[in-house]
Amino acid sequence: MTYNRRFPLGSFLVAVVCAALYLIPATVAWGQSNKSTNNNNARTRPIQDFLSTQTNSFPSLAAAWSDPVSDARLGSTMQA
Amino acid sequence: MASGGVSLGTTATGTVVERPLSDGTAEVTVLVHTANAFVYVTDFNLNPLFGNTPPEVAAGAAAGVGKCLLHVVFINSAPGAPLPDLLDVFLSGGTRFIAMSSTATGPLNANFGVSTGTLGFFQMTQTGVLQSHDSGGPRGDFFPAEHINLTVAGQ
Repeated sequence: MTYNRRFPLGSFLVAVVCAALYLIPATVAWGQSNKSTNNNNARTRPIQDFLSTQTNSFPSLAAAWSDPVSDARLGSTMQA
Repeated sequence: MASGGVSLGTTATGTVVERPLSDGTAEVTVLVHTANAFVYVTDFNLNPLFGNTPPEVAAGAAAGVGKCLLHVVFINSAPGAPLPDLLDVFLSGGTRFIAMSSTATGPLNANFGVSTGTLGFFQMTQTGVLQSHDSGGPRGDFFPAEHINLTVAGQ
């Protein structure tokens, strides 16, 4: 009786362990595939790529950066 | 200033970082620091409170001048694609995060309750967590942190 009662419990524990062993890598794999960004491929762009196109949001900045002799542009230092 | 002959010595520096996303688009993070920025403040009825308008400054009035930091994160169509106007990004719903902070000094207006020309201090912080898909925060507008302080300088 004791053996018969232990056997199902042991089988259950084995099943739980197997499920855990499966779920851990599966969850990790899902997490990797669900990542929205890849930091390794990030790159910088010149700030003027942004400033020069703000014709509606920041018209004075956009005008300054589209005008190569403007005061704002000449007074600026750029960082990529 | 663009409206005529007055220079505030405004400068803009910053960085743009672009990260490709799995769907072919790109997440763009922009930081812009503006120094000697032109600043003026009105109430909801557009009555002036701080600084003067560009035409007034061009005519010789004192300007509100300060510094500003803009931090914005948005989705662009593809890595390397031209960066859009922020207004277009807002309208398209592509903005994930935006924050702006600014400080400035300049003349207060009588509408503020002091003599026009009294030196004032302006400080503003706006933080919008726009990528949130919940209720939008305590005010429902996705801006959990926002305040505008305008005081007489030194008080």
